[in-house]
Amino acid sequence: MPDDPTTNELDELRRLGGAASVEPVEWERPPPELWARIEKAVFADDETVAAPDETRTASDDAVPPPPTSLAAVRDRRRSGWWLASAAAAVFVVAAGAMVWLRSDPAVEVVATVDLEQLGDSGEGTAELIDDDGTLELRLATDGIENADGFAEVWLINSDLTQLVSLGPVRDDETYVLPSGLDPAAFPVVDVSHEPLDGNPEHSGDSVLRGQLTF
Amino acid sequence: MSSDFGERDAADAAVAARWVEGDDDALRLAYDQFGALVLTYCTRSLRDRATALDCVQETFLSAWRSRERFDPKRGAFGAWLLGIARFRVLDAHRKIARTPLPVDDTALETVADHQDSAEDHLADRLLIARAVESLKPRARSVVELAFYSDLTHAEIAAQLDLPLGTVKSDLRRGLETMRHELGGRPILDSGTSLSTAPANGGHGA
Repeated sequence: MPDDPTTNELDELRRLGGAASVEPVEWERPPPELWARIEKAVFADDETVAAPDETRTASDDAVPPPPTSLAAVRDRRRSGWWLASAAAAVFVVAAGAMVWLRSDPAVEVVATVDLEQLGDSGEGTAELIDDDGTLELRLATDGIENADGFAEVWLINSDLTQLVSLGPVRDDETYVLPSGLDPAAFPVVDVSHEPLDGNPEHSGDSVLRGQLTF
Repeated sequence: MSSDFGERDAADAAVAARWVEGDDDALRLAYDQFGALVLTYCTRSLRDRATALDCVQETFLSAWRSRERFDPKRGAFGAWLLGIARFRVLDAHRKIARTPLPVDDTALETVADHQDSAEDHLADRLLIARAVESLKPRARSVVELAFYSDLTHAEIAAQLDLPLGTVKSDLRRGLETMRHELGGRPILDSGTSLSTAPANGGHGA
């Protein structure tokens, strides 16, 4: 009986069996020093993540003691407060725009992804929008460092060998895809740091990345 | 937790729960539970121990940086980690080849598609193997017999001298475990790739 659910389960299991190896897997055992390396890298990462606030306040004092209360944190960060507020406002506006987009019947959210941080700072969320037949990437980013250059948006194929530039990061956060481009063939959204050297190719210095799922 | 699930499933679920709670020990627990999976994936793919160790370090660092992105509703923790490891492996391949991202190189396309497909197959193979290992011995022998034979449920039951109902429930639970471990990803048949057809133009800046 072809429609018997248990027969379908057997078929699915056999597909799994086909993807599995007949030989048992010999698992590689992590060497003892590997955890120490990971712990050290994470610790160093936490330090650099904590550092920007200190540099932004430009305090001439010695390193202040760790804050013991929320009020203390607020005092220490006050001079940078408006920056954070402005960034938060941008995110609220962006989120509002996305909600508004969803309420427009001609606009369809095709795919969405939170971008992973590859550099030392920044975050972002991308949505692929079908606006009445025109495909657009809506990309909200925050906190990307752009010293000596600019940030550029790319769509890349899933093995990172072919890519299409959507141009420098723009304030309107909207990037129209080249007509005829199949987004499913370029599902990786990548934001790179580009030096001002006139070279149109990807610098290889990606700061945010995520893969759209369709 | 069902009695048909092994201890490793329970431990996996505990790690995922601690991770979601933002527990300070979650990274260490995740490493203890999934370090061998990630290292095996990186080593098999990169075929170089030192590069693979770097890759594992990068994977756990990336995972920790993006820790709030793990959503247990969207798949199992192991599949999520291998999703991150996949990018680190591809970055490492690119570094080894010393090739900057090519703008338009059709010759690379075939190699790249093959590589892409190989990475996906490897991830599936390891996740399936891990899921099968986590089954209790009886369920494991039922699932393995179904994997590599054309036997019907009744024939499997006869061969293993088990009641038909037991075989059916073992297979169903085994399948559910594997679906969960694979994070809902489609299983690749041999010769197919998750990646879609090459782009129809528009390469490069």
